[in-house]
Amino acid sequence: MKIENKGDKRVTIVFEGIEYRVPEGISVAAAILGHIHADYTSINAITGEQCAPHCLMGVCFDCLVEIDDLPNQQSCMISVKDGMRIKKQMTLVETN
Amino acid sequence: MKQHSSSSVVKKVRALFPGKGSRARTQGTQHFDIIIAGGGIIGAAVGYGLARKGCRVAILDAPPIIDRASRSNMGLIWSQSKALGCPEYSRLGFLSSRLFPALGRELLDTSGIDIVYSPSGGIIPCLGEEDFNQRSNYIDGLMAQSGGDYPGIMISRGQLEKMLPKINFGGQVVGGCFCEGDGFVEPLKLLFALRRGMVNLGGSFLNDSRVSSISRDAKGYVLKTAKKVFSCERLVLAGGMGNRQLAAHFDLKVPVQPTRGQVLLTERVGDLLPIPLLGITRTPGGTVMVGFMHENVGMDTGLVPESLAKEANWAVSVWPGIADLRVIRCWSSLRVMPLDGYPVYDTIPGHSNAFLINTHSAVTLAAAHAKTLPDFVLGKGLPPDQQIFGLSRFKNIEVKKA
Amino acid sequence: MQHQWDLIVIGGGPSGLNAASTAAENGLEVMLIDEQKTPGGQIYRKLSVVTAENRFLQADDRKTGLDIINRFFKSGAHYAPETIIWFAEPGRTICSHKGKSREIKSQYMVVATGAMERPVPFAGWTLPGVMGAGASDILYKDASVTPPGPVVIAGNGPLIPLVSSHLLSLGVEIAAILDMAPFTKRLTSLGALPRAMKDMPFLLKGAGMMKKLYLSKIPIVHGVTQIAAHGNQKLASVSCITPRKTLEFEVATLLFHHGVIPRTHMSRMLRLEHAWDSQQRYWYPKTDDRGMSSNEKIYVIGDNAFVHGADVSALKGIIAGIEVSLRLNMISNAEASNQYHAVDKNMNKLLAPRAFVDNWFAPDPKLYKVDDDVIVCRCERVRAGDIRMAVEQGCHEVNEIKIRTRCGMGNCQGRMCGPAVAEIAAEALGTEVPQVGSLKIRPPVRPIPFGQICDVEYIH
Repeated sequence: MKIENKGDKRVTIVFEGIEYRVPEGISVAAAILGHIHADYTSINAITGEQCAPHCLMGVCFDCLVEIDDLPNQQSCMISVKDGMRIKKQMTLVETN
Repeated sequence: MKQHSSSSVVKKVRALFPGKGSRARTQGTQHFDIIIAGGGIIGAAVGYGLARKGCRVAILDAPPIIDRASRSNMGLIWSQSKALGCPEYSRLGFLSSRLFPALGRELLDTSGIDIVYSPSGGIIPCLGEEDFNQRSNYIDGLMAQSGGDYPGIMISRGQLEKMLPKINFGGQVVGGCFCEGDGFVEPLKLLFALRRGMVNLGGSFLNDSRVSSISRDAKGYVLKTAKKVFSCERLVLAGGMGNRQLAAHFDLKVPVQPTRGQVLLTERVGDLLPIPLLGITRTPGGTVMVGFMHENVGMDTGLVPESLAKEANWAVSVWPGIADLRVIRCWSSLRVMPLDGYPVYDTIPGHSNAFLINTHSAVTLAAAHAKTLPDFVLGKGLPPDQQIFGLSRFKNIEVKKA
Repeated sequence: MQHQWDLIVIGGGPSGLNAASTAAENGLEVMLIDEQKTPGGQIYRKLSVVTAENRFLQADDRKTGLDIINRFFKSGAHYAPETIIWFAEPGRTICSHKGKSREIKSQYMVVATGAMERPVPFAGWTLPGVMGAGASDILYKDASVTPPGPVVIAGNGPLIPLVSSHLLSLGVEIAAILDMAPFTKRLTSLGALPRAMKDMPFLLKGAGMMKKLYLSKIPIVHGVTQIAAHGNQKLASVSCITPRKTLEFEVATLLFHHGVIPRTHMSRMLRLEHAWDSQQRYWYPKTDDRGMSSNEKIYVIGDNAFVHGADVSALKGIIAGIEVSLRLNMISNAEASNQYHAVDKNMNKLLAPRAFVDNWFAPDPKLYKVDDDVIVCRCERVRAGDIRMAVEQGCHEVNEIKIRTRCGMGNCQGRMCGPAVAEIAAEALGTEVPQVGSLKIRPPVRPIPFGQICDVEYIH
């Protein structure tokens, strides 16, 4: 994804163990899509299919990630903060 | 969702009892041998059992305006630690539990739906010594009452931790009681399996059919809904709380009241709770249900955050780890409670072919109901343990108007 | 902290902001609860933070938005950002902020939760790389990020030309625009054009966008009846069908859009009465012309009440603010009349083009006639065929279908599948959508950690 403004203040976040410098105040979803360029952010809990942010406004719940050890956080509704640790939401739950 | 093709059992039963036919009493009247008013878990179990016997049976089910009682059920097949003073009820519950595996196999065959029955046993956690002692005394009473035949014991905290190694129990948990006669099932799948099985075996399920009038004629009963007329020889009232309205057609007051339960449902978790705890159940789908309240609030299905908080706080004191799970849904619904807590199995006074059935714990009792109530409805009486649950015991109790 | 507020406003878009400002200026104690960090809703997202960089809006739009936001900051209304309401009943809400839940009570409520894109299932719509067209605008407004090209934009709705022209001006490679509007609707909407011309600036703006797109040489395919997204775990191509041909485009992003619909979870949780609009094919909370809902202490305004766009929403906000002020006896009838005067005049002009726009972009009911194997419920992976089977097995109402199939039981609580399950069920039953009901919405309307429910700070 193209990035338009390079002059913003930046913060350091960790995604899947790797550090990235991203503009302050953007959503975690925007950081992942526009700066980290990950292909997906979570897997569907039932089928394991890869999912990525879809609506970007908190309605679809397809943008879930683990932030600072808390699972199932909506990355489109949360802003990046310095030192934030983000992981893909990989829970596949065995259903009987 | 899988769909199995018509099984060999279905085909055999259909061959023995060909066709439903329709003997109209008057033009446009649909006739059945037996009509069941109410298609909840009781009506569906009785209907299934009757269809299994080849009867021409129909269920008339009203639209579910108030969520049906099975919606707030946790799916527990639970007979432990109840009915001190009524050994018959205790035995009935455990009988039903023993009948569930066979019912499950049969329903898979006749309906294609797996009710996911698991004979897991069940645990009631105890918080603090006083709770443990009270529970222990109660279990001792049940053991004496059953002549040593009660399938449960008290367990220590250590034993509890061994049975559920993936749960870090809260500090106040001192142990619990465990009963091997209990288990769990998927209550909505059970409901749909009974209905579908009944239909596949030749029965009829008519939804959107609220009974608006019941009258007697020479051969039995005539029922009207908004658009249709039905007749039958035998009639079963299995409408849950709706039995109050149905029984009014017989000038009968039904001794039941609604009890509200509020349920919290969390996101999915791994297989942490293979044995359900009373009040905290992991469903086969992986979500965790919390709820145990009984509130007398009439027909109010509102949710009260303060009550949810009470249940949530209790759950956290049993299993602190639950605090980190997200609640994705809450709901409340009304369960049926006969005034003394015990079932009502009776004919309507003055009507030897019209039957009234109301129980709490209809999911636990579903297997027993499918087995024993069809014969009751066919006039062959009830097993001894169920005979004591007639209407006459309520003579002295104030009953609220429908 | 207040024990009870005169007014809680739910939502930080133009209508909510104006309602709060008007009421606060009239002397009420007002709290505005916003799930976002800064006011502006979707349309003026981050406008108060990002200034000249926001190239989307023309200077006068940008000024309108900033005026609304600045007025709000000066009005004396209390602002509660990053606050999620998960429980609401008339008179009180419980909301969560930074991990802690507390109760907030008020005499009156204004619900202004806005709209969302109409969720319409199609083959492959769950693939990474498929997004709503509005998502593209949000990414840019929030983070100056654009989607990876080549992009295909598909559907029928006001955001199609808007987002297309934005991406065009940002130099993003657009492989095609797939127009899925039924031609007959386009023809019939021309009848409403004369009245629409009362708001010429609005019409000219739209026409200008269309002209730019037609001149751009981006392939525009009309009369598309079906699209499908393809790829192995990630979007690789989009195919489409028109009466005459089938086309396929290799893409990195698919933006699809079928109009916007009111977000009704809050109004449903409040047990307000709703009505079905059969032209726009959405449910909306019933209100009178001042925004009062079926509960006289709750007003519903903005695109949450009916989709009329940001400018009309802004005026509706002012009206609700005046109403509540009047009813709480903070202003006299004469003062209220004065305040209404400017609003009503503007409103007539802004509403003039709505009949035309609404008809032009009216959705085709056949949109939901999807194949059995198309996923309808994204969260629980329930397919159209499962829903049709449940209907066949006697589930004639969407809540029955929900408990039978699990459709609507997932994280999004039916937001993405609600419209589709009702349309598919109605079609299978040969009836209208209102006959199959709507999904029952109960708290929490957003997932909330179990521990927070234990620990709500109540007002005593």
